[in-house]
Amino acid sequence: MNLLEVKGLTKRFGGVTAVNRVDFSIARGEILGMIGPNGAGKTTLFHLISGFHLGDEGHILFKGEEISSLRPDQICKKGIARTFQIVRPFSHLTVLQNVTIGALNRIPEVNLAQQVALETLRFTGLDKKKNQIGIHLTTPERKRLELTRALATRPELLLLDEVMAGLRPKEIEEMVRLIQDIRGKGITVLVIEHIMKVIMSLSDRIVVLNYGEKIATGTPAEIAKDQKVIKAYLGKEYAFVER
Amino acid sequence: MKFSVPSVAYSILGLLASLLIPLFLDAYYLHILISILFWGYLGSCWNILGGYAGQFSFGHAAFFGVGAYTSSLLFVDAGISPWIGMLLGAILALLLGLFIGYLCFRYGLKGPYFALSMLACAQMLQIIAVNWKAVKGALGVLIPLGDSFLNFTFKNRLPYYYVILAMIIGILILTKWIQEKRLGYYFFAIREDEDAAKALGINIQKYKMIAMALSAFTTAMGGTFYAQYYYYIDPSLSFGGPVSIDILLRPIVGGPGTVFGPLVGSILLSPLSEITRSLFRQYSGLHNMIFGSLLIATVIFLPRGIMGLVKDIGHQISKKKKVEPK
Amino acid sequence: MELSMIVQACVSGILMGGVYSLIAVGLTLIFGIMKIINFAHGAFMMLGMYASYWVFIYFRIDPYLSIFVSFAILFIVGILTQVFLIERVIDTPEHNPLLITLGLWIFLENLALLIWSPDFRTVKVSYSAKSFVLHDIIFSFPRILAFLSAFVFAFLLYLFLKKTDIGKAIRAISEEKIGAKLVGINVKKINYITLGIGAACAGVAGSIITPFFHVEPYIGEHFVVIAFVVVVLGGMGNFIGSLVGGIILGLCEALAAVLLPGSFKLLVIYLIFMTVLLFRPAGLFGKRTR
Repeated sequence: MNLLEVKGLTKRFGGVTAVNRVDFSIARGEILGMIGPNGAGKTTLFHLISGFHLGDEGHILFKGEEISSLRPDQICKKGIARTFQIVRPFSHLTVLQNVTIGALNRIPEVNLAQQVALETLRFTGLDKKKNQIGIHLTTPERKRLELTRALATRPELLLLDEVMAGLRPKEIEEMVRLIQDIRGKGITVLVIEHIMKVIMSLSDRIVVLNYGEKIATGTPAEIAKDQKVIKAYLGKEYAFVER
Repeated sequence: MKFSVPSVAYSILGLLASLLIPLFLDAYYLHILISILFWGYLGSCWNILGGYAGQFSFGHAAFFGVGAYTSSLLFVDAGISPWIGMLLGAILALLLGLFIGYLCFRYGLKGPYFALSMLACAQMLQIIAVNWKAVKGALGVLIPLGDSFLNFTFKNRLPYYYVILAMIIGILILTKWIQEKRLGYYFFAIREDEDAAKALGINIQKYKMIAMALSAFTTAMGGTFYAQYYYYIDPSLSFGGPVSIDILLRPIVGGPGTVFGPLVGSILLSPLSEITRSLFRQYSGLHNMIFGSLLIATVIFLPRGIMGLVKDIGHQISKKKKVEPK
Repeated sequence: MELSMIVQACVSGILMGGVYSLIAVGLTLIFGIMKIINFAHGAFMMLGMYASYWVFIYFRIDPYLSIFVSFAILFIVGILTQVFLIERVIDTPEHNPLLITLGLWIFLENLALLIWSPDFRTVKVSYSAKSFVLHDIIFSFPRILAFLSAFVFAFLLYLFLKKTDIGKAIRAISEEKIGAKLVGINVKKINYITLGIGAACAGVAGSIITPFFHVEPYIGEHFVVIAFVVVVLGGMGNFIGSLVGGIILGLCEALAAVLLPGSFKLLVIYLIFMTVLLFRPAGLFGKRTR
């Protein structure tokens, strides 16, 4: 059984269909990349899966269970955690407090949750900054905090929304390694990313969206050659006819 | 709960001082002390919902008044001890809080809309109280004077002091307890960013309701104290706008979301209020003007209140200490 | 309950509703641009009333002429409020501007109390008690004047928003702040002007009711509540909504006063407030969502 199955998912906002009958699935332990031009519906899809939006049609099944009408907090309890495209740290709390709140999802006792939070911070390399207040962090640190906090909720599926945006090459490398380590711990990851090189090297499979529709799925190699994908990103002129 | 040695020492010292000093004060200064603790208590009750969970209510007088009226009417009309009335009033306020909270939070009223809704509720209760004969309308309720512990009436001011002291110690302990448990962490998360909190598994509505319930229950108890101390309540004294504002002023100035913020705010503001009221009686409105200015000044210069400033300074000092030993 | 009583109530309600519309328009303008709920609005109105009162006492100028004085004074007060107070907290958590306007309200109200004492004052012009009767319905002359003034002023404001560059800038910002900035609109300057105009609306509304309403420091409290309800009813940030909402609320208030005992009319107003907030937060005409 696939960890996550999305079937025929549709979301409309007034006259705009942001997500149009999208189907895909994620297998346990996979890193699935999601790409597509701006406005393709990737973040909306995240909102749908994580419960922030209610789909108009379609189903979302997590471990075989229908979750499409659950609240975000219920979905987190089921085992799906997410980050936000524009990071949302708890600005007036310390890094440790931020992550502890994540850990409290599974561990109701504060002291134990704090231990888990510290472990998670060590895993993501932010433990030195544990007493820093949210607003005093740099952007890469905030992205890492967002990730750590989501991780601390002990998810089975982690949704990462453009965690690399705004990072420098070295920071991107670190983040890629981190995501691979996360998968190494048995957590399945769905990554939205714009940086092609990253997505191609990181993902086991890729889903491509355009104008709210899924236009391709496959391995990175397959996607790189897919005419529809090339057309979508670079325009018709670049889609060349194979002899 | 976490306690460090110096803080335990200070606490014990503070406790002893608060127990013994009043014995040497005359009625006027004792009244000021009671005032400080009273408003500090109410501010702390508000703080749970406002400072910690971040839901600013501009109408806490609703709960205050429910407490005051419940215990007073039960006492005056049915002879029931105000101590029991205090409990019953608190329960009623809790139910009211859950009702209002359910409506507001379910329909997503946040920030200024929630603040105004609470104000509207308090005003509605005031109107009902004025027009309802059964609760004595605009005449108000007069508590018979007495000197019996069972009836929560005392001839002397001193016993009242010890009662409010016990109450404020109680609320401070409750606040500290909340702060160190998951409840407090979740309140802070809701305050800081609701959507992020949801994504971390926090049921926003449930926790807001808990905050509301705790806040309403404890605030109502303060209402009973007020009735028994001043021996008189009426719709505007119980539900009026100024009451709601007085309740929220101290925690905001002193430091919302901190344990001692409301008390610190009260130590600053309450004597100001009492003294200007008695010394400058011909300049009525002066102390409120000062309050208004302080509120503005606090919001602009000290958005996290006095305790926020204290913590920042403490942070700076401990950072310097870390650097120096090298 | 005679029909004439109901009709009378409707007439008074509509006339008063015009004034409510004007106050609400100022409030909704401020909210539409800066997303701030201006608690000090009632205090601004109170200042307008005192301005007209003192101008009347010292210069014997009719309140309907001294509108310009209150307009000017409150316009400046509004700008000062924006520059020195609100601008400082404009990008901080939502409750900060709210607390500042609350503090300002308390400050201004009590300043008035201190300077002018709590005594009720009245402006008695020659036509204060004048009225004419039509089919058993009494039409109070000053109230009609007030209604007309409110209407004229609101109309002028409407033209201002529709036709002038500044007006268009204001509307642009209320619809799309970032876009407005991108096309070069000086948002800061427009904020100043908006608060000035908003405050001036309240001030003018105060002036026009002085011939038939007592002047005292706490008068603002009554009106600020009504203004909020009108704004919520009409849709926050919605100009026409406030105009219509004001009339509707004036009607509701007057009918409630006639049909219900005691001070229950206020209860009706608060109930309308809560109902709209809970179940139709965008208001009757609201186009913007919370």
